[in-house]
Amino acid sequence: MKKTRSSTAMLLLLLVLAAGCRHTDLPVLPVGGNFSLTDFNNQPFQLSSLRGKAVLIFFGYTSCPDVCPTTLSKLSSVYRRLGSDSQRIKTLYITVDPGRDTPTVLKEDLSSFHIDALGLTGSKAQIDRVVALYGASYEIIPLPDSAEKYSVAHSTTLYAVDPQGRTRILFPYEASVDDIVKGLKDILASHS
Amino acid sequence: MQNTTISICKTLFAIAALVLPLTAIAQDSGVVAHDAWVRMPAPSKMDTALYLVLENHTSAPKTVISASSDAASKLEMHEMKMVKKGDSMGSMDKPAGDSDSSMAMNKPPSQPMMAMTPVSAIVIPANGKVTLAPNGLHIMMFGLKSRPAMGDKINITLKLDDGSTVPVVATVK
Repeated sequence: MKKTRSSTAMLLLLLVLAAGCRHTDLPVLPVGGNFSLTDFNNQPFQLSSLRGKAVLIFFGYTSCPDVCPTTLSKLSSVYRRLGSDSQRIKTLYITVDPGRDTPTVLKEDLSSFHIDALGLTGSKAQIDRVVALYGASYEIIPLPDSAEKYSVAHSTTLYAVDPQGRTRILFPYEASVDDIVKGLKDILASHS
Repeated sequence: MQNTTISICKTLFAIAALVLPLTAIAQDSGVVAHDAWVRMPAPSKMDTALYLVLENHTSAPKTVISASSDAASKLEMHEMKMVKKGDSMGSMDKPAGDSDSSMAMNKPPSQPMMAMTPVSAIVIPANGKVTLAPNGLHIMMFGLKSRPAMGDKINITLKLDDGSTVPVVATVK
């Protein structure tokens, strides 16, 4: 009798656990991880502080005339489409031009987009570490004859990190608002 | 007297017939700009990008060699293109991540990058068009003299290689 009760309890426990598990096809990708930078309020920041939220990470710079504002505009549409779920999404905009992108500049320029975004900066070594961690790339291109003086070539992938800090999706630059919304919903559903 | 008047008129008419067509040619480039828009600059910036469509209604290619505007200090033609690390000439910086050799051993391959590079000219094919749009060709406007508002109209002039000009009216979006 005792054995039967234990077996039944174990079976019930397994069934409860199985019911609690959310099936997801999203693999855990071998890029990313925790990192430390400085946010646009001049406060130390660690990715691990965002446990419990899905996180979008993008590498760019505020003097970028094209790719970066296009991505940020796209994310504004993503946030709008997600509605109340958008409160569970944080966007991290990591500058690859810390010389010009001071915390004040990051905060000011990100304010023009309707997204819950935090601008991050740091020393070159700190930023390079995060760039390498996520397999991103950037390169300073001198433009001595231009009013710009230099531009920054940079990779355009948008990284989606789950509430446990694991990278789950790499959105290419061409990803549509629909693609990103769906991907984020999948991540949120697997951690609700 | 009447013959003299007639002679003078004929002479004047002949001169006009020669000069007026030349004036028209100088003013008419055969190129039309439309759907021109300027991106609202970021709050901390007084620089932005101009996009438009240029149509060439002549049977010869036309080349845009410069741009100017009373609304900005300097205009430059640029394009966005995908590059790989090391493609740019005279890069000031070492590639990101290489300063940390322990990271370099395990890091994923570097991704291709989008870069903004200057172009010296934009060719509009004969009886064709060229589109300046995000992720491609565009004209940078540096040093805007005042911050525009959404919907404002900005005047720009494009200069072609044959000396003619193309007026552009762009809307701030």
